[in-house]
Amino acid sequence: MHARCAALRITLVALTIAVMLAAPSSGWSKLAGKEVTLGMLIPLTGPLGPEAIRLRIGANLAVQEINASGGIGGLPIRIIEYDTRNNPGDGIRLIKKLAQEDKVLEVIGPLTSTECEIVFPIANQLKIVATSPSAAAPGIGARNRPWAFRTALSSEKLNRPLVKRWVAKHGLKTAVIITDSKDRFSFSYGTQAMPPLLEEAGVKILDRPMFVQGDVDFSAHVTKIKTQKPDALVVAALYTEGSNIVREVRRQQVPVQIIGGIPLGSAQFITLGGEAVENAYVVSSFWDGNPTPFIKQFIDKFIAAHPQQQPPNDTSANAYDTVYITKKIIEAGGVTNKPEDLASDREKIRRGWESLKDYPGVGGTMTLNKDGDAEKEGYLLQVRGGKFNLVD
Amino acid sequence: MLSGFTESLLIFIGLNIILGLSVYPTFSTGQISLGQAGFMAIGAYSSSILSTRLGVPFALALAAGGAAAALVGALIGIPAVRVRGIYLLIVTIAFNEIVRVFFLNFKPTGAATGLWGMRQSTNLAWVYGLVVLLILFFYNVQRSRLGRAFEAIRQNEVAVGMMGVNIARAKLMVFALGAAIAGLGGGLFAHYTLFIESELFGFPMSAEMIVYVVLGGMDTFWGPIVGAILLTILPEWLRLLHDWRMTFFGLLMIIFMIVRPRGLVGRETVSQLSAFVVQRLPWQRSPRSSTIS
Repeated sequence: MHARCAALRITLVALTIAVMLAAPSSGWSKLAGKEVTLGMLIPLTGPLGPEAIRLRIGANLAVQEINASGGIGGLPIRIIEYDTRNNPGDGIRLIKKLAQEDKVLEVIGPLTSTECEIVFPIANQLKIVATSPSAAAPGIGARNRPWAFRTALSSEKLNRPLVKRWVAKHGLKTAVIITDSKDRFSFSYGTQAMPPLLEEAGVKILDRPMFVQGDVDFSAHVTKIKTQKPDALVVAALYTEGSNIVREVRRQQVPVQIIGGIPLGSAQFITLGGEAVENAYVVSSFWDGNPTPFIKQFIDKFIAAHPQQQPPNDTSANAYDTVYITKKIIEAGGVTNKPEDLASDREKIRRGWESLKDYPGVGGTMTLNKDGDAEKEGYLLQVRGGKFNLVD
Repeated sequence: MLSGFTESLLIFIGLNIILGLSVYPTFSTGQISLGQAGFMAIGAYSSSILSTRLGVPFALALAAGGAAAALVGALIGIPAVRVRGIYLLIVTIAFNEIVRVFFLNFKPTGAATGLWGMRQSTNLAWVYGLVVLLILFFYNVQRSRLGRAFEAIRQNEVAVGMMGVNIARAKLMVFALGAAIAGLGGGLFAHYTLFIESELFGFPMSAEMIVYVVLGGMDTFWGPIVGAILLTILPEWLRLLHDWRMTFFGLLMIIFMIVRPRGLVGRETVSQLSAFVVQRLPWQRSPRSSTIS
């Protein structure tokens, strides 16, 4: 009796081991079909082309890495990419093509906030996940529940601790915020995100001058700021105008501490600003000099693969993360990849995104909030010696 | 049943035909307006505000959008018809820019954040219903006294003035008419994209509308129709060229303009085509067959 029991137990253990060995190591069931297809909508033609290309490189880097190491559940990933020309008509019909004809599992993109406003409602109609690695204007995610997600938000979570640290470091008491009224991200950063955070940190806002994207001469703005004698200047602008503003501040020798948002964290800010942007601060979710091994590896790979391009920015990093997050969700959520399960597969991917928590991406550790927008930890960076350096 | 992709392609072909036709009236009197996107914006914003904030039915909101654009068109037209050629171009471009910047800063219509909340009311029936109406309208105008007057103004303004045609009034009329059509197009556009912002109605949009006419042909109203269809479909067909798509597209445009400098559809194309069709109509007995029998 006892011997039989032991034999049974041994058999059971052996069986368990056999089953474990037979199943793939991570425990997912093998996916059907020949490949896992994802869609991508980016404005390759037009003024946003360079940004779209950096998004594409980020996503393709992840695809190459994943395919080289066995793909998703043994299947390679393929991205079906369409150029939207930043044209609303193209955006609408191409997401329909991706969802209904190409039958992709999810859509990466679009790039700009305007495109997202137009494409996200269609994603909701079609019940397919659309996730933008770059659109950052506030409220778009909340208006497009439950199928739209964004991995690029300058949230309070990102800004609050860093602004507080910056204010304490220099003992700042007063500030002026200069805002681009045309760029939607800068507008919300300068008028909605920063004012309460500064006031919370005990900084009095003296003035909030505005300018329009495309302006090149900021001498009048800066002359006025000089007379107001603030301790600090918040630059809510894209890198082109941002670098021009900082140049003018230095030219008129206004003694202020300067801080800017995510767009100024781009390498172009330093290229365009040169000596003038030395010592300026930037709050960003991405730092292209990050020594953390897996992030450094991403940056090095990106530069090695495309030496003629600018180094990666937050958009490239978020696109890279998006592909890996998709892989993670597919492997965890019982996606079958069978044509007849397309709707339920898409629903599983949606639930995966919705419940994403503390994902350690190259674009920062992110958790998605109830609006489908990413909340990340960021970095306080300072330009020193023509490079972004982390401020401790 | 049409796929979602084909359906939205057809909708945009229809919208672009309407926008192309909005350029045609001014063109038919020999003037070029490069500010049609401004009228489109006025139609889009006013119809959207009516349908979202005031709950006005779609048809009424659309008509009001067209009327608002026509009104502004007439107001702008009063000074604009007094200048010609390059000066009119500058006036209309400036007008387009004023409208764009106005909506960029006007808080009640969303300013920089744009306007949303429209219901998807635009469909194939609405778009092509309007296209058919416009074709009937232009077909009749072309053969009317008014249409001949427009044509004559283009050929020789002074002579037409001597014949007793009120040139200023005729020009004002085409200006307001073009604005109304652009406004209707804008209303349909807004209720299909469900989101509008000032940036969508900038100079590039106006330029695109002009290209429909220039490429399609400026002699008859069929020109902008053919131009709009071609210029909407071609970029889709050329997708197989990937990154070289728009380069090839531009090259094609140049070739078209070299081969057909007056546009793809000329007056003779229409007359030859209609003669060809009429000859083959089953009830049309050709002269030769009658002699045989």
